[in-house]
Amino acid sequence: MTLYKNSIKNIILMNIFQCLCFRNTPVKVYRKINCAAWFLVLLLCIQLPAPCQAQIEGETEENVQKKALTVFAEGGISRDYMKREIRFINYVRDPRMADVYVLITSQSTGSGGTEYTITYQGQNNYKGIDDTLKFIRNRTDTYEIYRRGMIKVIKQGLMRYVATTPTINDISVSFKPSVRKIIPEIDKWKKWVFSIGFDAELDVEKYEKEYDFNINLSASKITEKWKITSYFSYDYNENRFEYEERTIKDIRRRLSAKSMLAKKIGDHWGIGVMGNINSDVRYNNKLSVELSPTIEFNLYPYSEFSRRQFPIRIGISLSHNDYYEETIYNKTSEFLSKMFMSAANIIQGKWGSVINVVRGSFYIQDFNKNNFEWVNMFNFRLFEGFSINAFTAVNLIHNQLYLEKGDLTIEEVLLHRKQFETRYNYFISFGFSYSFGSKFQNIVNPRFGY
Amino acid sequence: MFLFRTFRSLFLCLLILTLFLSALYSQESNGSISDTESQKLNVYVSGFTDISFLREKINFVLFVSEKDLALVEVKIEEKSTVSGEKEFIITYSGRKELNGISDELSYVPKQGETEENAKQTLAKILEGGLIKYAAHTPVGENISIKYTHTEEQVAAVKDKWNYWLFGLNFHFGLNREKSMKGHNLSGGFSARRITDEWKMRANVNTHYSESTFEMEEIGLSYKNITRNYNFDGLLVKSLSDHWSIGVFCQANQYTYYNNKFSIELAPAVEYSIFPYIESEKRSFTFLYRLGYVYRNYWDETIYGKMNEGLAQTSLTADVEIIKTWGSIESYLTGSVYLKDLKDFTKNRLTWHFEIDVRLYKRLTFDIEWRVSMIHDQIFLARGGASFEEVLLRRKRLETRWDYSIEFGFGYSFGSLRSNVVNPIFGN
Repeated sequence: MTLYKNSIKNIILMNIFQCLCFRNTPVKVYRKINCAAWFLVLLLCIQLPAPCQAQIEGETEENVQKKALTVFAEGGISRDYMKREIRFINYVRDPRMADVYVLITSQSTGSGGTEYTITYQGQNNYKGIDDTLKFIRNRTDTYEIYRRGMIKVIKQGLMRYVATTPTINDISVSFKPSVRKIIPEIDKWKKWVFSIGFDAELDVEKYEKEYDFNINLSASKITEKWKITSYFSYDYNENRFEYEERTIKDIRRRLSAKSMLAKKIGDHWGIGVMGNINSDVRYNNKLSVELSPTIEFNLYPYSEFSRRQFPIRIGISLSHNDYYEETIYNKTSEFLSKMFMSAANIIQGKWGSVINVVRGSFYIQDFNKNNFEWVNMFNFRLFEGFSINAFTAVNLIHNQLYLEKGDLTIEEVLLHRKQFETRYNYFISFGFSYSFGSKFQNIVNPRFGY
Repeated sequence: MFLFRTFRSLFLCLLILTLFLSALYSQESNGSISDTESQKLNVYVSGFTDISFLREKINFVLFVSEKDLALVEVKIEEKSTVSGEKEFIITYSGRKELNGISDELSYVPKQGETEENAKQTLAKILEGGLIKYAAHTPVGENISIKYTHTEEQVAAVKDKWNYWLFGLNFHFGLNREKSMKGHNLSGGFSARRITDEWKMRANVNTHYSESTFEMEEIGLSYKNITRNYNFDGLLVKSLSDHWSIGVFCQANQYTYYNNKFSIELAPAVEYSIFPYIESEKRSFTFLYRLGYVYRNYWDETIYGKMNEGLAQTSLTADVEIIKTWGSIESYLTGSVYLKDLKDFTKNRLTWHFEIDVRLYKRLTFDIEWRVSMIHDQIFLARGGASFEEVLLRRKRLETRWDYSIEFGFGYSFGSLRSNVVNPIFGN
């Protein structure tokens, strides 16, 4: 009733407002505005009463719902799917508002599948109540198989928190023993995994045509101690522009073969040898063969790798390079030895995430031919609803030994077909986002698209 | 006589077969009972006498009588609180491979709660706490949890914001190297209110970007500026599980499309073959819209217009199905400008199709295509584009069709269930 009183009050106010504002407007225009205003009021009247009524009728129901566990989950799964499948919790828009913060991180398994780590962190009344569960997606599992399994595990992890809310009375748990007995498989492949892939793409319109194809092969064996991987890939990419009697054909062929033999020593150290064979016209690289023994130290234990990592690597690279065109240093092929080091730090939590990478190298023949790279990316949730993010990449380049003699053509520049000479490049970006409003985000409404 | 003998032998054969099968079956079912028990979580409970009640209520647990057999030990204590209420404290501690995982839950029955109800709730809470332990073992794989609330959809929780959510964002980027530089700026505001009944959404975004190429030695100096802004509004009312109506409202500027300013208002109606609630699993919708669009151009169009207002109508069919064997996504959309009621030549038809499927255990296949027949590029500028604009894709070019197709195969073999994780030297 009060609502209708308000509406009437609004209409009266609106009329007074209109009289004041549109004293000098012609009658016709005024009428139109008046019509629009009435229409708006009508719309508000139709729309608003519904939730108000529901509130009065379902008082206790809503109380139960309000007391349900509040959750903020990120990573690994579609939020809309989760909202549809797990309906006994409340979803909130910021991790600070949640009783439980759920973070899902992942890393690859030996067979090319993915291991998801689901971390539950209790807050408010659940402070100090944490848990960690694992879920594995096999390499050949389809999206549906994966998301069903994942939801099942997420749900089970939440039950301990739900147990202290009134919602527990509306939850039924069923147990269906598996029909087949799990027999430990005898692995005749001895942990070796092989894969082969082929992709082709064609994109055509009147003046522009693009063809792409890629073939890749891989073989790997990963155990707790050892890591043996090899990967081969060949890419062909062609772009054609035919416009006003000018034709440009741009072809990029790339070949890359990588292999690695590495061993884990303890929970912090790794040693390995990497071999690379590459060919790429953008870098004037006809064929390069590289061998690089490397040592790695991880500041955090490897077992926490998916949540926080800080590997530091030092190595020596020995390579032989053949060039398509004579370089600015008058070389068509050369042998190079290089020392390189890198450090990378990645951490993620409910406060946000930080990625920091520093890389540097110099040629042993000539220390002045060096480069240094720093990449920083962060996203901080500073306060409720507010987050800032930034990306910085700085590159100091004094090692473009591969640059070819002579000038580039305009097309080569515009299509970025060849790498340009430069002593530096940097990229800085920052931004913020702020959201405010309703705390609960339970509803999925797919009408007219998302 | 012969017939009788045949029947007799047939009957005997059948009898023997039935007996044999039933013996086999009973053996199997005998086996599966002990099998079932071995698949349960072994729990030892103390402080609660009615174990058979728990056995009936919690079926993924095997309640053992000796501590040594258990993976989880549970102690239930009854205390009275300061205010004189009864309180149950459930203490869990993991054993063997679950060693170190401990937990505590408490339950205070409401005043006036019957003994029986309190017992039921206590069992529920006990069960909730035990699921955590089951989830750490293979037992979890056979447990499923359902929400039995009568309402199909979560009763939406209302707070003082009445479902409104607002967002603000801003972004700035800068890049430099010897012969190339650029910067860009963007910002936006969004407001939305989404309930089961209504969907309201409005976004304003603006984007500015500037890039320069400068190479004196080859006489190249090229500067490009792109300015876009766009307003996107949507109001939808749910009519039933299958029908909804709404209005799209858009206003924008895009340099790529020779669009200085355009505004569009289009009422629409949508029909969904499957109930909307199944949208995350399967959806098949038809959307019909009839609208009016007014455009202002940067450069005179090939039809000699600097601005124009047109009615446009379109129909879109959209399918999305996600199953265990793979997924399918496709849409077919046709639109036409209604210049006058006889001229339907300014039209467009687009078909997009995507399938991702596991053909055989280890063999996957995916294909995606998009085909468009385009007869409605009324916005094209008379002057065409410069060659730089073509190479950098800064302007939409004239075309009567465009298509793209992508496909791929993947095959893997070997030890596909090796779940070792070894993160040295990255993934």
